Amino acid sequence: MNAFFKMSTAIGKVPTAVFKSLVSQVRQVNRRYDKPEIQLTGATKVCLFVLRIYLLAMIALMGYFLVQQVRAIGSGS
Amino acid sequence: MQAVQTVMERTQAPPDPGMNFLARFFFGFRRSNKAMRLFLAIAGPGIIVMVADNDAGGITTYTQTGAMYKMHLLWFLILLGPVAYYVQEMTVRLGAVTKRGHAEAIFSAFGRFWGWFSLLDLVLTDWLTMITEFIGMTAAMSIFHVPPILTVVVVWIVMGSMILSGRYWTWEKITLVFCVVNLIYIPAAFMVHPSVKDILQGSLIPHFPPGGLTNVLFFMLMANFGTTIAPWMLFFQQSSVVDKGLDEKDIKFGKVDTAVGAVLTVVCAVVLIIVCGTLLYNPANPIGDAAQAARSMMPTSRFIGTTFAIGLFDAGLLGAVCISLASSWAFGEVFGWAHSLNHKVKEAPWFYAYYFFDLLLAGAVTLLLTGPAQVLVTLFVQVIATTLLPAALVFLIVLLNDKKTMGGHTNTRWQNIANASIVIAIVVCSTFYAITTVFPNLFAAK
Repeated sequence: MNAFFKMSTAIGKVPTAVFKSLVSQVRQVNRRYDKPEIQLTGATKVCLFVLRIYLLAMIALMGYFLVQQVRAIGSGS
Repeated sequence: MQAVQTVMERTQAPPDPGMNFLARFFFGFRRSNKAMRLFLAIAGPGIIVMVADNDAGGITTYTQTGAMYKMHLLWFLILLGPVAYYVQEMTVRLGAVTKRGHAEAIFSAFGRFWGWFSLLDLVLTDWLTMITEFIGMTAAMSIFHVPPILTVVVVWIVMGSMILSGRYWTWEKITLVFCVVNLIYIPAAFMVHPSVKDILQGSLIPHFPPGGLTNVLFFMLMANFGTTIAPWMLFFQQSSVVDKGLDEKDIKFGKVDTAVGAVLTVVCAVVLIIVCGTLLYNPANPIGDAAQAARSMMPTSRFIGTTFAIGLFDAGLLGAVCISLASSWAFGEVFGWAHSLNHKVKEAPWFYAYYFFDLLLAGAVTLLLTGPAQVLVTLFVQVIATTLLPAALVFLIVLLNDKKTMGGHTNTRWQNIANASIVIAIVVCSTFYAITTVFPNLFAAK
């Protein structure tokens, strides 16, 4: 029983360690790319702002579409 | 690339002005021969990405286009060739100059918000597209009575062994063989004895089919557009150029490689439309997917039906290989993992782990999905892909205009005009496409 407990604890530690490693790597990526390297002109900034709004609208559309389709599959239609 | 460099230096040496005609001819021949050898050494990423673009979803789209509109839309597909070339050619320049993949380039240039957005969107789109490739492959093999589980396991083994050689070169040559298999449809186009007049009219005179621009036609045009330019293609080709080690001096040949790929992809699409337009034309009751098309062709010609099924399987396999690698490269670049096909598994464990994770999960989920869920995934992929595409293209154009990074390889004014026109057209059309996918009856005649 003791050996089984030790083994299951050891196996359980693997995903935790992988998850912790990934979180630390994500933090490193965030630090590394904290500031954009490219010199953005006014026009590019406006373009990126419009892109942000466009993407928000599209993501909302996708969310609606997904919910609608999942409901349709759930109701068997 | 040392040998390639030496060949290039020799080919660029000017001929001696004092040479006679024969000597000049010999010099010209030798130079062309060497240039061809150099091209063959550099060719790969462009051809692979363009041919892989005709993936399982693409084959279905072309099949439906032919079955619904005969040859009337050939001109539109021919027009899409240069559009795909213009977009993909930019990734060659960006990769060769910066030595960075597309994901890393976006993170460094635009910061973490846009970086994470692009990466996560790419990963989601790629994974869902992988499922559609598996759906295509299992459907193709079911024609030969191969059970889906066996197809998935064989694909896992083939795709796994393709990348485990530890050499980019080996992977590329194997993949090019699959690209050649993609040309399997060409003999079928001659065997069905299509109407040459219809082909010429459909190719050379831009026009809409009888009935004009309807909701269904618009949807079909957008589907063709969406299969020609996909976000994963930008990420794949740039990372591939970097992994292959192409340099600024190789850009010229990289462009030719992309152009050859663009021609091949258009030829495949046109041939598919000709075959389906001749054999399966029935606008009242069109074909649902490529596997159904292959089954329907069997009574007419077993050879054509079989080649169609083999082509569909090959298209799915090629698409799955490239899409899976695009994600693995992107993760490797951003997280700073070793991420080259020139590395052994021990040297780049995370890169290969992600590739196999992606592959195994997509295959396993495909086996679990039922019919309606498969349709949902296929539709959802199209909507997500159209969402990412405008963003990816805007980033690409901004990056290609950064003089600090690109030096003499920035976009010219005409390239910017051409690319901006393409982006605006894509943004407008893809938005309509996404909206019509979500609300199919929005623009329907009342």
